[in-house]
Amino acid sequence: MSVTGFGIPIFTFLAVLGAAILVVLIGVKVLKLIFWLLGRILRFLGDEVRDVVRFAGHMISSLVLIPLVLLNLLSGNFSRVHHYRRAVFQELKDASACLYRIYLRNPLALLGLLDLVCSVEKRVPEIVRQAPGSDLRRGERGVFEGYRVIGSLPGGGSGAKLYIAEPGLEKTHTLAAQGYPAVGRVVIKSFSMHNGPSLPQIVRESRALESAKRLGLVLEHGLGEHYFYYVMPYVPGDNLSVVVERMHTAAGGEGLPTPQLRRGVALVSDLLLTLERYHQGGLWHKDVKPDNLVVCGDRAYLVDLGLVTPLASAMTLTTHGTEYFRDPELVRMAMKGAKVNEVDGVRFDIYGSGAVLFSVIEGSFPAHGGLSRITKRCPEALHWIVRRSMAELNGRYSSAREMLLDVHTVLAADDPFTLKPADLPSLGGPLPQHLPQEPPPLQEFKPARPSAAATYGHRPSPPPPVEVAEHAPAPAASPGRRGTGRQVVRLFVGSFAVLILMGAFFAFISERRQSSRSATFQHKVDAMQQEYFGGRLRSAEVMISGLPEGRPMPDDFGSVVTRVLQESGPREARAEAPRILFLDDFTSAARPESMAWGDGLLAELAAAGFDTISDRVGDEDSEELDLLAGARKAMGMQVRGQAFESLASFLRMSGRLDGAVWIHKGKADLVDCSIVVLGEDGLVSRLNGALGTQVRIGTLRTAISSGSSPGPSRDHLD
Amino acid sequence: MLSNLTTRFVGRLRAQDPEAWFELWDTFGPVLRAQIGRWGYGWVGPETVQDLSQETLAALSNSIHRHDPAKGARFSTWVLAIAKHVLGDELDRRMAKKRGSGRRPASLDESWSGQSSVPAPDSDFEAAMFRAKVESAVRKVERATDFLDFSVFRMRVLDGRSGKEVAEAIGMSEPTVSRRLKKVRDALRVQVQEVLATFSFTDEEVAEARRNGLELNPNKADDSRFDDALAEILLHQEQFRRQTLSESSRKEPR
Repeated sequence: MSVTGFGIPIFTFLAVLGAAILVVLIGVKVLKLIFWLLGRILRFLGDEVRDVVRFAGHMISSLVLIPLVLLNLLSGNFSRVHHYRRAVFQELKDASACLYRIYLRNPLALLGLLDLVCSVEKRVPEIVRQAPGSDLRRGERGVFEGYRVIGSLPGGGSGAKLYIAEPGLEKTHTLAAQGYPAVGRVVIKSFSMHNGPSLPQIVRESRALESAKRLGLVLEHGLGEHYFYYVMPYVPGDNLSVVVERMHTAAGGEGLPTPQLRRGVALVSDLLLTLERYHQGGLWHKDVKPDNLVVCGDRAYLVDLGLVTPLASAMTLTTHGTEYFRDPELVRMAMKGAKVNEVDGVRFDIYGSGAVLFSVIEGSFPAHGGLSRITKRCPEALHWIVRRSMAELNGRYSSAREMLLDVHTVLAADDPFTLKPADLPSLGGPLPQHLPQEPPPLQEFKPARPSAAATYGHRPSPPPPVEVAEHAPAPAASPGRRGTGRQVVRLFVGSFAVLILMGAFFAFISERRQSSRSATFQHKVDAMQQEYFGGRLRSAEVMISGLPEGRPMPDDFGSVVTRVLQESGPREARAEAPRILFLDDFTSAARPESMAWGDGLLAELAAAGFDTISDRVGDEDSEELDLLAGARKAMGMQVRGQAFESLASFLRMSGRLDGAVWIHKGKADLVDCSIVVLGEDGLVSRLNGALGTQVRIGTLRTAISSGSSPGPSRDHLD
Repeated sequence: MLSNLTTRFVGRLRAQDPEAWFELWDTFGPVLRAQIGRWGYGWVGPETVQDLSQETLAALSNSIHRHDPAKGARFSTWVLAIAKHVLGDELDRRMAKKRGSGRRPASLDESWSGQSSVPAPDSDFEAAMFRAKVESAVRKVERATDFLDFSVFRMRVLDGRSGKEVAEAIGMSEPTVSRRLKKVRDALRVQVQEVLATFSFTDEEVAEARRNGLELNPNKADDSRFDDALAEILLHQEQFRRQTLSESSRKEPR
């Protein structure tokens, strides 16, 4: 049979046709491959030529700049030397990057092995970024009074340094007297006074410290000559991002197996318990994200107080936070100029919690906000919880407890995959039988052993204090080495006895010293009371930070101040309320009672018609932050020395302030209130005196009203 | 001719309404970041891309009232031209700073409205701009509707669950699910129309909805097509966002 007139059999024709098609197909593939290879080679050549030219350009620039460095060095113009030197380094850095691409990156790209260096390029900078900050130098080790720095942690984005430290014996006693028993290791977050840009950050962070102290999140804070710092309990462990990444890497691409998922959800449950405490304490964390959760054994601890804000703050909302874990609605409201107390900060923290839960399930962050889809293995009810917590503001959970109940229902279910959203308490389902417990304070924990068998509803009970673990005796020796074991026991008992004796001795010395200080202090207070008030105050005992026997501030200071202010009469001469900077370096470092006294004073200043700017409230107004930071910088954060003059000079230069009230520790541990007033003639009046606050505020008001300099000063500063 | 909605929005921008600015940023910021990131590959890092996309939108806010509809430029072309101008300026500035011989920064002129020197947006950019508008509409509807209603919509349309499954999961009847779904769908149609009208300069741009399967004046048979189209657009938009993010985290300036 033939298909053509040439008598070619049909099979031969088909075979030829098939072969031709095959040849064409293979030819096309080969051509594609050739063009692809040519493309790669051309791209490689192009990249190489471009990098060689760039390298030459950088080297030429360096050669031009180096003589400028030398020239300016010879003429002693060191500012320019510094500038040109940096430019040379930048050029050399760029040149070396070109060399790296010429010899390594581009050839690897040609061979299709770019992933080899991509990993190095991506991972190495990340690892370097996460490296702990530099340790304190030998001479700096005593800068945090009462603590011994033993290591450092990676710093945050605020420019602060984080140190791991151990409190000394005296500090341990002091903390115990303040209600923090058995404190082991601590983290000290420290801001350098010499770093200008960190000053607004210091002011921001210091605002919520008192509330954080009341919640046991911060043990104490202090202001030294070179550092502002606060001390927090130390929680050893990795952050949740690292833990989740590890879990997902082990699980593969399908999502977490049920036990790991349970563990992850239980960590989110810890987060919600902590947030509930924050919110009940009137605080908004504002930066809830996996990086800020430290996983210690089976528990998660919320850290980083950098953005913590009082929920009731009347200050302007800012957009601080971390993208993808911060509700975009917060940005919208901030741009509208809303105040903090006009928004529901609780719901913004809940959005962050939902985003954290999403990241636990998915192993990545919600790139599409509330519309992000969950693609990994996940119970439907849990899916619902994520949606509800990241929903539009009004549809979201109204409290951490409401979300917690839903999460706990999932945790308590035998098989969470059979649970439906309708079974959750927020949709009318039954409440879980065992309600979650309040999380115990951080310092009462020790790191628990990681438990692979953590199950829903059967979470391990809170572990005993860290200190027990850290000072625990060495493990018992094996039975085969009984003799050595006895020696170890004897050694241990002997050391223990010596330690007890030493502890008793130091405690005795410490008690003697404190009693002596208290007596001297009380004597001075009595003298001041007589001098300034003729014995009118019924109590003039002032609490000094660090003295366990401290007593509260006199409670009738406020009434005296109010009376004096009222007597001075309303201000009529000025159209605007006088602007006063209120700097409190004493009561904010003392106990809550003293803080309350400072708050009262601040309120009285405001009630008397002064426009006060203070770092005591959750203030985030940028202009006020600038003023506060500027004043701190001008004073060099010092209590003594030239601080008074520096502050006065700052007031003169600011042009936006009428005066400043500065509460600080004066000579002999007495609280001083210094007042600086700018007169109309530009002269500065300075008044200050220990416990003389009320009289001076009255004088201040009169001075501003009349525009003249107030009376004589009593300077205790220098 | 600009639509009333566009004119009103332009009015808000001119009045320096921060919410209008945020809407612009929220809607088109990711698209601009992706485009500038692609153009400036190897030259500018993620932080600079972020800054430049903000600069682009700021320039857009300041000049949008000078738009000349007679020249027939699309909104997307307008945005692209400004972005290119802003990036070009940045690169010129860098070269000038580095070598001392760069060109002077280009001036912000009316050339944005013209089409001669401006590259036509490619299909990827056009698609991204359209998806951004749809996403903005969906978010607006989410803000305006009840959480349960929107959840029903998400489960039915975005997750592809049946009406019966959704009803069982949430504990409501199937007719209620259908009623809630319809409510959200109707709101979405109105909102998509509104957002497209606000951010479109030409009739062709407004007609993009129909071309992409979003019938805005439908009969009942179009509902499922509308749902499918919407789900696909949002899926692409999420992939686009993820891809943009992973690219921006890889790119380092040379």
